[in-house]
Amino acid sequence: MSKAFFGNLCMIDNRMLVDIQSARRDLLKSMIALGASTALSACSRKSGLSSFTDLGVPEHRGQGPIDMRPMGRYPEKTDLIMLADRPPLLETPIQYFRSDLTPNDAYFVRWHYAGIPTRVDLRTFKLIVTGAVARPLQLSLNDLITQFEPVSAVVFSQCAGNSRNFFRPQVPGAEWTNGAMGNAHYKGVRLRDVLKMAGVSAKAVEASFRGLDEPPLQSSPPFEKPLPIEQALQGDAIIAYEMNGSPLPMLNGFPIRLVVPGWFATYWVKSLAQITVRIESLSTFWVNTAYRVPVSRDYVEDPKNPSTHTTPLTIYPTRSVFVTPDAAAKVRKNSVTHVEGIAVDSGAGIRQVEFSADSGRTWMNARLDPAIDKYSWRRWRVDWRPVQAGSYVLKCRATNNNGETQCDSEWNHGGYARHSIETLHVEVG
Amino acid sequence: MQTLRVLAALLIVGAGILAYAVWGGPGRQPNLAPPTAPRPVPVAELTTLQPVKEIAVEYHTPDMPPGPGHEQFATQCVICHSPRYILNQPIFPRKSWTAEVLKMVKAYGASITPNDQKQIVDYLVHWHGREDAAPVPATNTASTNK
Repeated sequence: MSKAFFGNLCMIDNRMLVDIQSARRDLLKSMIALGASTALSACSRKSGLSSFTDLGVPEHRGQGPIDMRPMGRYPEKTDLIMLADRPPLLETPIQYFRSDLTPNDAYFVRWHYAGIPTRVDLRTFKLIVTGAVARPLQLSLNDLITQFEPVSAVVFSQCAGNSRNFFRPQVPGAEWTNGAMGNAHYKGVRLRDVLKMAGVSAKAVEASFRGLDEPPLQSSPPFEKPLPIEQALQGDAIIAYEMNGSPLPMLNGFPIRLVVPGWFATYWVKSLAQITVRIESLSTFWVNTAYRVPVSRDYVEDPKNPSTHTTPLTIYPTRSVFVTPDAAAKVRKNSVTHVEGIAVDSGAGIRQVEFSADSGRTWMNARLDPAIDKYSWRRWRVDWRPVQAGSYVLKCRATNNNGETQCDSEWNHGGYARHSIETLHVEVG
Repeated sequence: MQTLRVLAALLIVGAGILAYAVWGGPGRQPNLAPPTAPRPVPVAELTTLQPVKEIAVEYHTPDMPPGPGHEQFATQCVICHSPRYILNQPIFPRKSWTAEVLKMVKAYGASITPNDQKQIVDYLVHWHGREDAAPVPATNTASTNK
């Protein structure tokens, strides 16, 4: 599993590779025969287990390089960092990001309400398309599979609050570090094809999406997220029924979830059950208050005087993060340390990632791996050879094909869309 | 006939070498990987072969320490979410916890009386919070010492 290629091959097969457009494709294909069985067995899959693993760690979040947060294991998932148990908020440990595809069992989990779906019967499950449409639809999983052209893509997703824990002053919410993200290969049908079959009214302004999750109280607003109608009809959104070659884990939205490439995961409604085409915009807490950012460059606002002019958070800003070395690892002087990370944007593509080992005084270009797919993350690497012992401040900075790069610092009241230049402190000895 | 015998012999020797390579030999590394899970049922066949998916979720509820407002917290807040939602937060000042409790009422529709809200805030400050910092004096020490 130390080889990135074996990670790539987790739960992957020939069928899934059709859309990965890169030089890597042929290499992967040729390696499948040799490596697939190894990779599959190395990717521990523990479907059906629901035991909780209490590692006996203190009930507080780690403040230093060593992560002290408790781990939990949920059905179809491996041990993940447990931010909360009901509803489950599970963060992916950073080492899983050494693979280009994040395994399903390690993929992060975020639900808003405790009423999560735990049982789905495909004989009765229907995706309802309703509202301002000419032909309301009720589609079973098999209807989706048989009546629409299948599409597939490798797509990055990231919780709007990913890395919230790094904001200062700290803000309430799920205190994710960098693990509320992942990269997966999805297969499904185009959202726009389903909407076209239903016949969207010319007066429609948005399409909104609801899953099988239920609010805890009659008075709680159901979790429902809208996309502007032009995004729904012209964008690349997928109603996905397959993730990395398998049905979706229940906690990641079985049997179908919305995949909105380049848009924050709050729009990726899980266990998608209803699409409502609207001629008036949805107006609820989830739209009017939550997941909003200030209308300012890099969403920056003053903690003492938060902005009153806000807008819904939509697409990913350009961003890069470190995957290796581990912050707790001791780096040896005069030897080469493999520094590696991933960079993302909302679809224009990553042009450059720079690396600094002196807290941003000087920068060098990182090597970029071949692009995997339009909305995938892209891996970057640097061979770093520090010659002196001491404390180092590493930084990484990505730039996309539109010239969008990363800011030095940022703060917003929701702790959303963190994308300032990443810093990693390492000791060299 | 001779050729066939040679071929057969070669085949047997070859099979032996293969068996040695696969199952035995001093250089073989132990396979510590867990057994491969059965391949999942393809999505297209799920409805026929495995139409029901069900998971049993065991929650891991942390203990709620005693303190002022414990009863209000333990009867009202946990209706909707685990007490772990408190533990995963920073040690917030009273002001932040007050805003959070108000959010539960205003945004999420929790029916909590103003008095109970106050008790719950007390509990949150006691368990996982702190009092607000004293306001900074309007005049600094240099000027008052003058």
